[in-house]
Formats: sequence, C-alpha cells, structure tokens
Amino acid sequence: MNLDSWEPKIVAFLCKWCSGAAAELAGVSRLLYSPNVIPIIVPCSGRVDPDLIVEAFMNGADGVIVAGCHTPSDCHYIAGNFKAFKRVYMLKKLLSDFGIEPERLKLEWVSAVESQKLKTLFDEFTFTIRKLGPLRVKIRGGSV
Amino acid sequence: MNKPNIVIVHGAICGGCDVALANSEEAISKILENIDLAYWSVAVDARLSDLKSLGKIDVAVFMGGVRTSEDEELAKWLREKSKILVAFGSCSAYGGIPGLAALTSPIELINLVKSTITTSSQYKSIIELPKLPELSTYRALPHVVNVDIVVPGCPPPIKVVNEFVNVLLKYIAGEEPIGPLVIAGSKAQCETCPRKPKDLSKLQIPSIKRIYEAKIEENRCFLEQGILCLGPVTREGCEHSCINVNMPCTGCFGPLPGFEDVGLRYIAGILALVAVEREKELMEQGLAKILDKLVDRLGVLYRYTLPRSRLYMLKLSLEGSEYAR
Repeated sequence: MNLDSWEPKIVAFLCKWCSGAAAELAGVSRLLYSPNVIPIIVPCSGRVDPDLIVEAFMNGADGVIVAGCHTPSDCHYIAGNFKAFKRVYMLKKLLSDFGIEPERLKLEWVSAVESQKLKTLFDEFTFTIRKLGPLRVKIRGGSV
Repeated sequence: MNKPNIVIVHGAICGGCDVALANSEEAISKILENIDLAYWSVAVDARLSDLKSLGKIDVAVFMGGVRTSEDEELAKWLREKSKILVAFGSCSAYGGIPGLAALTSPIELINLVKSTITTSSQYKSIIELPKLPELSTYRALPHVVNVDIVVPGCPPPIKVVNEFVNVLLKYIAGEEPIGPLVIAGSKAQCETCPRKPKDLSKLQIPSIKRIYEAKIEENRCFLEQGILCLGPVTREGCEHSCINVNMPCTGCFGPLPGFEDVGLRYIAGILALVAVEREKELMEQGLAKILDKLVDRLGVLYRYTLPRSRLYMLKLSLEGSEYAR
C-alpha cells in the first residue's frame, strides 16, 4: 500500500437523538470537520452491535467512532448508552486480544448542542488514526 | 458383497472423539454392519500409505482441527476422493480447544518449545528430530474444504453420534446431502435447560464471578448467579451434560444458526446485561471494573470457536492469508 496517498477511513455511528443532532447542527453551523469520517445515524448507541463495528473494520475502515447521549440520564431510551459503553469496552479488550490496537475504536458522549465537541472529536480521532496508520495486526514472533 | 467403505482420519486431536465413537455401541455396531471400516488408525492397524492406496472412499470422517501442512493436504485429498465428508467433533467443526493457539504464530510456538525443553548437554549434539510436518495457520475443517455433515460436541455425546450414524446410513442409501448438516438442535441451550429462570425477559446478572469464587446453587440459572454460561448462544442437543453436574455451558456445540461469532453475540446480548439495575450508580465508580472481572476473554467467549470468529477472519485477511473470508 502506498502510504503517501493513504487516507484514513473512519466510520462514525451516531445516535439519532444527541450525536446525530449535533452532526446536523455542525452542518447548519458550517463547521468544517475531517472528510475522512463517514457518519451513520442509528436510532440509539445501544443499537450498535459489536458485529456492526467488526463489519466496518472488515470492509476497510481504519477506525470506528460510536457516539451517544451523555450518561447518566440523557439517553432517549433511558439506558441505551450504558449498553453501548459495556459493548464497546468489551470489544476494545477483544480487539487487543486479537492484536488490533484498541485505540481504533472510540466511544464518546456528545449532546445535541455540542457540535463543536463533535468536530473536535472527528478531527482528533482522524489525527490518531493517521498516526496509527492503516488497519493491521501486530504479528508476534514473525512468520514461518 | 459390495459394502460402502468408511475412513476415519485425524488432524489435531486429543483422542476423545475416537472414544466417543467407540463408546456408542449402537452406532459402532451399525457402522460395522453396513459399512466397511477401511481405515481408522486407532482401531485398525493401518498406515497413511494404506489410506492413500484405497481406490474409492464413500465416507470420510475427519476428527480434529487442521494444524499442520499434512492435515491440510489430507483434508483436501479426502474432499476430492470421498462422497461424504464429515467434520466430527468441535475441533474439526469449529476449531475446538487447540484452536485457542491460533492467535500465536507457529514460529512463536516453536521458539517457545525450543527455549523451554532442556536436555542433558552431553546428548545435545546427538538428538536430531525427524522431519516433522510444518505448522500452518490453525483452521477448522469447514474453512479448508466443504463438508457434508458436522457433528459438534467435545466429545460428541452418544445421542448425537447415534443420530449421525442414522443420517449417514440415509445418505448411503441414496439420499442426496443437503449442504453442511449440523447434527444438533437449532434452538439455544436455554430453551431446554432444566435451570431456566421463571421469566427470561427479566434476567439479571448482578456481577461477573469466576467459578471458584461462587458457591453455585443447584437448580438456579448460572447467569443469575453471576457465572458466565454460554447457553444462550449455543446450540442445544447435548442433553446438558455440564449443566446437570453444576458446571456452566462452555459452548462446545457451537454457534446457533444465523450467526458465526459466539463471542460478539455474547457481548451484545449477555455482557450488556451485567449489573443492568445498578448502571447509573456504577457508571461513576467504574462500570468497567465489573466487566474487568472477565479476565480470560478468549477462553470464555471463544473456548471452542476461536478459529471461526469474525475477528480471526479479520486478522487473517489483514495478514493477507488466503483463508480469510
């Protein structure tokens, strides 16, 4: 892979009620954020199955963001963000077990008015992924 | 007399599957009655060269995972030669216990063995190992070749072995195989579990405990007691041999139809329920600490199915392996 022309591909799962609304607000406010991020609006961050995140990685994403409503009581569905927290936390651990940097997966709480925070999140995460490079597996001990 | 013949071949295996097959009197007598036992290295005196000299093979039973280059070659050769190929046992079907070594590269395993085996210095120069088959990427049989029948279980229980032989006899009588047929129920363990909680929708997992930490009550759901049980994501059909002796299900019957990856499903469905009543208060003090109690993640979530997990597939595809799907 030619590293000079490589651009990070990032998928962001945003919940419809808070982070998705923040993305809308960022659009209306003409905030510029990194074009590497592809936002996908889902009904709730608690709906993001670990399978979907792995699917994103399998289809070429170099990083995945999951963003939902603030804890403890902003969630439109009362406790979806806690479920998201547990799933992402466990999946991060699993990723590192399989030799993939857990930093490639990020969970953040963004409320509907925090469009600036969303922009910063996207920009900083793109910077992190750019530093990490394309998705790869740490091979221990080399190959036979 | 022109009986169809059967060969029973081994990959990476502990030997338990052979015992399971031999232990089922009904199955083994039916096999001997209707089928010619052409090769089974633990029961009939035969060598690999005898197997290779067979003109035709009707049924090939492959036990154990595909670990070495020799296993791989054998699996591909059997697929070409045989009409019906059977993945027998969890190692063959899903990867099994030896599959847990799949994340460690072959060179690392060999270096570990070389660095830890000690021998008296005076023999060091004398001992020379024979040429061994090369270790390759660990895979379950269905990843290497297409199989017709999958017999799960570690080892497969007698009921399943009998069922398998019945299906086999039907196929031999002329019924056409319909893709990979799994000899197990298509519902979750919990459906028939004797410890099923009264209301499954109100299942609560207070915290995660390891088996030695808890005094496990009999006749009460393991999850309610904080013991991680893989029943909700595992096929039924084993008659709950572990659960009946007060041990949680570890998932040897493999994933339910509809998904491949036990671990991800378990995280999504069951681990997200841990401490569900106390989420708000725990969030500040560290909800993560409760989840950290699950120390051996791969050993619990993927004890038998690691080589078939999606993250393993991702790893293989990133390494540029031809076996990634």
